[in-house]
Amino acid sequence: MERLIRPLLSALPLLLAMALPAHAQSGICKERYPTVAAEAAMFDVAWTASERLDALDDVDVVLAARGGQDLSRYGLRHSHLALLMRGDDGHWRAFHLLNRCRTDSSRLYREGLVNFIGETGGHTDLRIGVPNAATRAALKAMLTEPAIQARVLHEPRYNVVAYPFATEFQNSNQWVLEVLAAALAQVDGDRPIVNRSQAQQWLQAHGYLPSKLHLGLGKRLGARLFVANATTTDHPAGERISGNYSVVTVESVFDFLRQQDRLQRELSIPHVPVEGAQPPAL
Amino acid sequence: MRLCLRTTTLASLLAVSTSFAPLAHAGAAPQLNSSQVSVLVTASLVLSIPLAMSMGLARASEATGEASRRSDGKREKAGPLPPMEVKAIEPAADGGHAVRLQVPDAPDQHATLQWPQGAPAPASRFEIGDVVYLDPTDTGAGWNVKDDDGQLLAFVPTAAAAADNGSQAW
Repeated sequence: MERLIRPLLSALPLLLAMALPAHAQSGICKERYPTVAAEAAMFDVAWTASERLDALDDVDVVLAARGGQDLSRYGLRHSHLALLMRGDDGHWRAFHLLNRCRTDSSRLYREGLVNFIGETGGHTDLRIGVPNAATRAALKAMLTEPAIQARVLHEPRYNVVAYPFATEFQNSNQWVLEVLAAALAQVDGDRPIVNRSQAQQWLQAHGYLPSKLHLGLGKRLGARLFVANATTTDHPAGERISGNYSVVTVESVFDFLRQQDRLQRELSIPHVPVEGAQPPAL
Repeated sequence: MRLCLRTTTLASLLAVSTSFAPLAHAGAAPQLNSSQVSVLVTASLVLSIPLAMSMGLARASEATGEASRRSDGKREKAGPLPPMEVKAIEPAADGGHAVRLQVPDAPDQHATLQWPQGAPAPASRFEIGDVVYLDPTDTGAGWNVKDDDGQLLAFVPTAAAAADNGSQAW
């Protein structure tokens, strides 16, 4: 009997920890002010981006990817996607999903380019994807008020490694991808996409392939225990066993657009180096 | 336009750089999934009419984002400004801070750097009597304000660049 109980007792802390809700860091959010150099870089990169975008004929909607999280260990440079649309006032604004302060939820935001680029302007180039004209027109319609379709495709329950083919959670890139799917379906004359399940089915049917990121056991356990914005519970058992998780990355979205022949061109907006600036580790 | 200019002249100040309100935006510097939220508080620069005229900046008098676009649709870039002496550092009526600058030996050529409430006391980097240099950034998005040693004291966006700063839930 003791032989049976002792291993259980030794595993008790781990078992207890696994049963705890993953909210250890929820809502902890400190204010910080960018350095003067970082602020200047943010404005400079935004300025250059505006100029480059303004120079494109008949283009008022694009995809934009910035740094944000250090994914270099996965061979990825950009971590966060947004849709940019030029407003009636001539200024470009980013439409994107943000998870602030490591909580378990997200909101959609409309931000100026300076805010979208943020301190990543000091260490990572901006990657711009210009969809073809038909896709741009569909996206513009989706982002123009009341923008019901784009908002319906937002799921506030956030998970940084959300499974691309499940609707329980959503991450930033997933929202952009699902809005893109709805736009492309419209361009193709397919049945209108009015919910996330339909968007994901459309993506699977059209060959969207997510990236595979390997998360070690320690990171998985840490995510489960210590952060509210990451969980792997929505992934298939096979992925949880192997640690190889399907995730919507910037790269996979650009690859999909290229594969679908929907990408007219790409631009790279150089960052303005700021001493000491680097993306935070994942 | 004449009326507008006269009114502005009476006020004797010319706004070169404004930002659309509010000036402080949470999340301006996104560190994705970070437990920190960055707050961007941008400065604005107000030039006296004589200084602005001497710099050829008169058209920036209606310094909104739209007015700062040239007739060809391009955005007005930051231009060169003369070195200026720090004459005063004072709290602003709105709870922010202001640094009064003046071109040495030219009392009518003055300028004010302003920060809204919430800024982490950037005025504390300035000292009365120091000469500061407002260097346009490479892109022309604004000016880097430096001291005699080249140390960066502040950044001021142009009106057009400042209009690219804003954040709201959608």
